Amino acid sequence: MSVVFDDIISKKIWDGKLPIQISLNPSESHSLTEPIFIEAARCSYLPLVTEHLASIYNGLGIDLTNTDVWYDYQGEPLKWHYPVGLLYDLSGSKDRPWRITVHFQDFPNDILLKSPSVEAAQDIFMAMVKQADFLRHGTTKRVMNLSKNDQSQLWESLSLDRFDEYWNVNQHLIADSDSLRYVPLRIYLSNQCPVIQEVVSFTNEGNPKVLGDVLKDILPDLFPSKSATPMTHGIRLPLDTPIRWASQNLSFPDNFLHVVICNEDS
Amino acid sequence: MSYKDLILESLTTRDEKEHAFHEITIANQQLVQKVITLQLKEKQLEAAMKTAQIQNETLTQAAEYAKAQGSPEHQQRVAELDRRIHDLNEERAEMYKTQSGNAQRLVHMNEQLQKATETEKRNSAEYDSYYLFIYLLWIKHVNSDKKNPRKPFRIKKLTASVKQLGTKCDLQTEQLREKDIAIQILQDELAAIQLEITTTEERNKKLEKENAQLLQRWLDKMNQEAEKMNEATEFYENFLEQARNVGQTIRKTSGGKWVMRPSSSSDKSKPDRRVHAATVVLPVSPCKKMALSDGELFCIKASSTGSMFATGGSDKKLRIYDAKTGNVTMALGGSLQSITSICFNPSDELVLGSSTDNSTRIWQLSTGRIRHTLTGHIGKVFAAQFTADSKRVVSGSHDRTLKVWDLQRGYCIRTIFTFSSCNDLTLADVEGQTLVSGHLDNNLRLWDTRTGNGIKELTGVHTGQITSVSISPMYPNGDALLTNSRDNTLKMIDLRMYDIVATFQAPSYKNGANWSRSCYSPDGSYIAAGSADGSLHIWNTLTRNLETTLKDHKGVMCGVSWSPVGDYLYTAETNKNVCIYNTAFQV
Repeated sequence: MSVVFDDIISKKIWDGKLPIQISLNPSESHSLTEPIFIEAARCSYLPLVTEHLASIYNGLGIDLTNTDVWYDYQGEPLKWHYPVGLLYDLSGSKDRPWRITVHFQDFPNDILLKSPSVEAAQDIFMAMVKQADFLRHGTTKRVMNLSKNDQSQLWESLSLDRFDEYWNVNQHLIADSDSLRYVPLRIYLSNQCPVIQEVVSFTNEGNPKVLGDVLKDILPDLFPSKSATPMTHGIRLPLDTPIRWASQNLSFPDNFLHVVICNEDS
Repeated sequence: MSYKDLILESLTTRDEKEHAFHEITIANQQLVQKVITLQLKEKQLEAAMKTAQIQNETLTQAAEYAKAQGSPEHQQRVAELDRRIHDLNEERAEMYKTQSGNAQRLVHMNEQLQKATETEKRNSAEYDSYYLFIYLLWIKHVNSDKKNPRKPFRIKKLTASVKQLGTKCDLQTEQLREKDIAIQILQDELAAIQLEITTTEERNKKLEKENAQLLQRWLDKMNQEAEKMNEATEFYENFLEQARNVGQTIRKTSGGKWVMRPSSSSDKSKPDRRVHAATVVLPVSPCKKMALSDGELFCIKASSTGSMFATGGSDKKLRIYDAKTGNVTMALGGSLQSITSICFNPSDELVLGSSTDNSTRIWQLSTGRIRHTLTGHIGKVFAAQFTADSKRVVSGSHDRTLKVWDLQRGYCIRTIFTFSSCNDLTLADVEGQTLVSGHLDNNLRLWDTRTGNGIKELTGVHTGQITSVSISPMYPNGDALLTNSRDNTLKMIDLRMYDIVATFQAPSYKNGANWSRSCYSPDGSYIAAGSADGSLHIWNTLTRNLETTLKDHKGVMCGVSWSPVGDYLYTAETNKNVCIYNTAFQV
């Protein structure tokens, strides 16, 4: 049974945007004291946000080539290799705009990965894509067979917000087939817990799995229960969502399902 | 609802909430950008303002400084004025000094004047007292005389004597004054005479100095002249030596006496060859006619000293004759074929004969034996000549070469290819560096004997083959080269500019042989050539006119040769006859 590629939902996922209010660190004196507002795509990454704000940062006298820019939410440094939407959902914040602070000094080397540049983000993104491909098909043949142009196009179209160009390339990777092996899935509980990434197959003795089954397998203590809800892209996922469909349509641009488990509140 | 619808609904709600801030965010971003740019501009303006302020400060500083100093012109003027003030002050000080000096002198003068007036007063006072005394005496005497009747007489006597004494006294004072005047005059004269003495003494000294100088110069001049005399005598000796060696360049009047020119250019390095008047006389008739030799005559040549002449011809013998008598003194044999040309060396010790047997032979005249046989030509040798030092011989042949032979080594040291058979050749200078040759192809060619290179080829000079080339005895001062050709003309060619100076021809003159030789007179004033009909033609080189024609031969003339001494002209015709003409200048 082939799974239909759902345009509408896919587009909505891609277009998800977050309003962010970026305040400058008061301990670092700058000529600008007012916060900066920006709309960042949920699928984007923090280094890309830095890049968009480059002109403003330069105007403040920051030399971006020498500085490690990092953000924090309420004192917690934000992992720059996670998509912005995931960071927002993980933070549990409900405020719109999302109030974060930008720092140009004292990069917390012990908490964050080094050198938060766009190139590094691109490398991590491609690594995730390859991982997803491997998990789905058992080889990274599809990714590797993409031309260099196509590989860079994946990232370029993400950074430039080009939906069609992205899917031009990605459809080769996501192309549905019956011989899918494992689900590329990451489950986040809270900031302190390690990320759960387990081998989950698409089918359960021949039957297609739903999200509830998968969660039950991975977190038998939490599921089935009424207090925990899986969230992704800021929406609650119904437990009867077929996992194959979800993987195809609800993944982040790196073809992974990033699911945050949070407390049930309406 | 299906999961899809649920998800779609959730997404839509989410978007509504989260996209509400879209416009605000954009507006905020724009404002932030503007703020940033304005801040930048502000910074730039501040920086510009600062620099402008700094400039302003420096300019105001400079302006103040300039004002304080005053412009450079003002400064200059100020300095000038200071200097002038200084100078004026100095002048004033000097003036004061002179003024004080003058005041002192004035005081001094006043003192002197006072003294003088005092003395005068004293003197006059003395005179006054003296007169007074006399008067008193006289009064006394008069009073006393009133008692004595003889007193008037005595009084008269006394008054007379007083008068006499007074007049005497006046006379004396007059005389004194005159004497004073005389003394003054004499003193003036003395001063003047002393001045004169000093000036005359000075003049005397000067004249003595000049005298000494002139004496010195005269001595030097005498020394120089003495040296010159020495040089002249030395040179004379040398020249005589040279003259004996260089047979062709001697210029002698009859009797072998030198004619000295009055100008001073005569004692330069080259012997002066200019002689005033022509020292040869045109021959009128032969003094001797001889029929000699057993075969045809081809050449005749006078010796370098003029003591003999030689003929050569088809009888293979070279005959030497005494110049005056015309008798045969020697017959030199050894040649294998006829002799074509003869040359004596400058000292007349050797004579060469070139022959149609392709060789040139050199005989020693004292012994009559052959000294050298120069073989090497592959054609008939038609002309040969000694160089001035008698160490080399140049020969020209019908094998189209010229050869230079070294007599000390005995072989040919240079062969010059001439493109055409050579009929006659001559050396153009005393050292033997330049060689002139006349050829069968009507051309004249000049060669450098040292390198063997051709210097010049003169074409178009003649229209027939060149039969004779001879160098003027006056070379390099006169016209240079005489060429004779089968086109029946003789031409004189200037070897410096390579142009034809003169052409000699006559209706009666025809060149009769391919080896017919013409020559200059020893003083260069005439040229002689023999014609095909046996007549001897003589032209004047200065006027270019044909002077005389003497028909004393019957056949084709083969050669003429003028003795370097100038006393005889020898002519030969092919038909064995030789004529000797006396051309000596009878004083």
